Amino acid sequence: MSVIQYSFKLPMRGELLPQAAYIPVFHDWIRTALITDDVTIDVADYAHVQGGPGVLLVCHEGMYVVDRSRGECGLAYHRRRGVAPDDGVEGARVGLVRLVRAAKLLAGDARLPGLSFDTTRLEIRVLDRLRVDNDAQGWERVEGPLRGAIGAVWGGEVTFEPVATDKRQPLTVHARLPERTIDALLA
Amino acid sequence: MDARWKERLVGTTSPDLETEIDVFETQLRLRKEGKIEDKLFAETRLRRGAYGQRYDNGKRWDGEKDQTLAFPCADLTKGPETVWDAPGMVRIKIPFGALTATQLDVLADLAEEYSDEILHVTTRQDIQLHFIHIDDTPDLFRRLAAVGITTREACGNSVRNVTGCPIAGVCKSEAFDISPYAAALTHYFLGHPDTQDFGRKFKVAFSGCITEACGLALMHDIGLVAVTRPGEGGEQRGFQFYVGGGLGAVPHQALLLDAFVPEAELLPLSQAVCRVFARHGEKANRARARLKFLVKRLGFDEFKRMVLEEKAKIPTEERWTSWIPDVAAHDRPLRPPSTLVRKAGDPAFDAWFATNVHPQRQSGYSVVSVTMPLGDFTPDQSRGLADIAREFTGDTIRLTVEQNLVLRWVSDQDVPAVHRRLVDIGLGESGAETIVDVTSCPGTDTCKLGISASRGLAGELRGRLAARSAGHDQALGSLRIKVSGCFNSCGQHHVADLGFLGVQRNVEGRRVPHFQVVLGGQWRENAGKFGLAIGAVPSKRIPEVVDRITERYANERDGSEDFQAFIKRVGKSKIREMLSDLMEVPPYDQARELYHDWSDPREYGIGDIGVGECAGEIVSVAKFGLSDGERVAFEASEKLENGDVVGAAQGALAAMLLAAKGLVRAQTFDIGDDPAQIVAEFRARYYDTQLFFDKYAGGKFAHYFFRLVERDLTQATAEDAHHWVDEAQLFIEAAYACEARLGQNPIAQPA
Repeated sequence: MSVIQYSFKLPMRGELLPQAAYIPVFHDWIRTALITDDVTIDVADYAHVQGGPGVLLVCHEGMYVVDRSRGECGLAYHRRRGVAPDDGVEGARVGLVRLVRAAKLLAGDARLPGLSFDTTRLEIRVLDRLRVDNDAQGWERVEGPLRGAIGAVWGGEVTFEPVATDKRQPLTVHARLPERTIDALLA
Repeated sequence: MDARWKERLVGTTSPDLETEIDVFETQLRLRKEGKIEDKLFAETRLRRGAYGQRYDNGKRWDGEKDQTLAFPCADLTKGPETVWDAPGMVRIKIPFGALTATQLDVLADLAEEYSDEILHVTTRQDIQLHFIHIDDTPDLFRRLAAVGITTREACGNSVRNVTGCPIAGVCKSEAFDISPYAAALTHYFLGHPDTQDFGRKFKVAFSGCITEACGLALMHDIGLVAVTRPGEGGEQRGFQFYVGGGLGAVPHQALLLDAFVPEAELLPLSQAVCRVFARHGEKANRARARLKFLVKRLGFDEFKRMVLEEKAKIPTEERWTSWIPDVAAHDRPLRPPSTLVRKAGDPAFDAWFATNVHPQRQSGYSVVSVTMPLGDFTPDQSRGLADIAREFTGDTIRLTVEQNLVLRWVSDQDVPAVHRRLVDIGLGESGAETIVDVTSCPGTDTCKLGISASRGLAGELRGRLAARSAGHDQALGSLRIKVSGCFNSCGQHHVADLGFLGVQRNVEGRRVPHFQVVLGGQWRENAGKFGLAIGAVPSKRIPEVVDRITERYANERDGSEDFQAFIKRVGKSKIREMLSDLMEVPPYDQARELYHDWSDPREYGIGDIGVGECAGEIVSVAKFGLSDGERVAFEASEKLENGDVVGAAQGALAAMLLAAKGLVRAQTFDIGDDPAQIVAEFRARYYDTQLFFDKYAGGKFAHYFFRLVERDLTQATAEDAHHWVDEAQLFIEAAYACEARLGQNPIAQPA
């Protein structure tokens, strides 16, 4: 079985909107059943926590997060569960596609004026310490699938920069991606 | 194939805990296969700390209509009206709030991998993780067990987390350090047979003194306040022993059962209270099932008489006192004492120092309070706190009932460095345990019972009050605000200076979220006085309520008059009058914002309120025994399939013994694990009386049991084992039938 518990974060660019702005948007996603490949459950507001997840859309398989952790605000998608395919690339690709799709929806929402994403960078964490330790062996396991999944969504070459985290943290890398507009992704 | 956490953690966990979690994992599997009824499974998971969460009935109010949440599990449930796939909450018991750095690291991992990356400190010194899938709970429990944490009996009708003063051992006003006593009581009652048949939850708290708030002893089922008296050979330690306190919809102040219970009598007297509660407490009506109602029903004198009579009957146990010689071994400082040299010109440090740093009893050391906004912190912050503890204090961390965390034994000269490190991880806020530090239950954010958005309100008040905290004088700054999202009072609003209780009102056919304003509560003196509601105000106007009351207190208080005295002097009717305009709700078209709750754009509704699990499910002790027997019989059949013939035979007998013991326990608490005793008691109580007899088969199924007990199981053939496993299953079915015949309350003749 492939690893599926990836967290992908796409940084936001420019002046940040207040966290509260995302709350009605996520509620509407639930109300209008905008996400069709998962069960959308609830919106959680942690705007009071410094450097943490700010506002979350909680779904059965994962969470969409307006995340301010590790010094950078961005939209993250954490995948928690779901069918793990044998193909490792597919295991990573599903989460990445969901992230990009959500970013496009947010960027096109008139209630979030000026919101834009830096599509040349991606933070990747692997939230499955059982299968993927934060070490070279862990990276060896996920590098290929990640390269394949990012290639499938972005096209072109990707370079990875390991993040010097301590061993207690989940395996974390930053990806440098080819310049694309958000609209061009998954077009 | 990848290894599982079970294999990865081999050798790190106590065998008892490992077995418990294995059993739970099997129960999970049996429930998925439909072999355990959902009500029984609900209580089973509750006693393991796996709680329900809002929307777990598969419905959600979207502001216009109820939506169905179409989880993939279809009809599978984990309790009555509780969908299997719906995320739940895991409550992690942290006895008296004491945590180690290693435990903080593991909690961070779990929050990251299984929940929404937030750790939440509760008002009873637990940690809660939300949005957890039930399938993840066995691994989560294993990883906790590997660092010495159990979630067992964190929920359900059991002895909940034992709370205690977070500065015990370093406090200036305590009689002695209550920590080892709280630890002893925790370990003694965990899984104790006398605590498995309560009709409701049971809460115990320890305090080092009567004057401060820290332990909140007077609002607990058992409240224990440390006291000493002269005795032979020096000072004798003991406790003021209070019983029958509790908040909830009908708060009761605890009553003094004994003004001095010597330390050696602490456990037996507590055990006697538990036995009386288990035997005579309400079982059918959960709204009247807490100990406070039993004390009221029996009358205090009669209750006391029964407790003392029960205590006299309990056989003496070595475990009652074996821990006492070790009570002096509590946490020690990592660094030597020192003197703080304050530097001028750092207003942020000065503000933080004024509210978050308190000198310890031990010269040269301080207690540092870490402000956790609404009790929340992140995995990165958890690891950061662990690092600070490792460097400066060692494992001396405590959670508080005000939803903060304290670091004890900070050498005074390290205080500025600790502050810098806290700022670096986003936890350097001042205002701990002040008016800014608003306490709240989860409310409608995640609780099935929540009526109003208590956290939304608390966050709003916190932000507003923090913005003008510099203008608060000492009297105003020291006020406490506490918010509960419903009448169950988890936010402890009854004992706040300004308490708010979530309610709702119907205005021209539309629902409007409100909070009752509760005044007159007393936080000090162990929650010495409960406040009373003066009226309900729409949620969105509560900040204005706080402004008006605090401004009036600031402007009109008489010298050093405290808040309770001020409220008493002014009078609640005058205060109500001052707020009366805020209580009027205009029609929807004129004030739509009032028809919404805090931090929630949906038009307010109450359709999301579900059936609470605070009370747990009323499941008889017999049923637990029968369920255990059923599980062991199932495991025996698996052993047989895997060729373990002797294991299967022994499993068949073990299954029958568990079922028989379950039935026996329905009649007497005094039954251990000795097979001979179980057989004898079962024979006397169920076979000789023919209570176990089937209408058609008579005593046939009991004969299976009696015969198997006599066999040498090590000589079993595969055919024998197969036969016995079948017989075990038939015996268990007969036991279920017997339990059903005996009715809802099988304790017919308590011994």
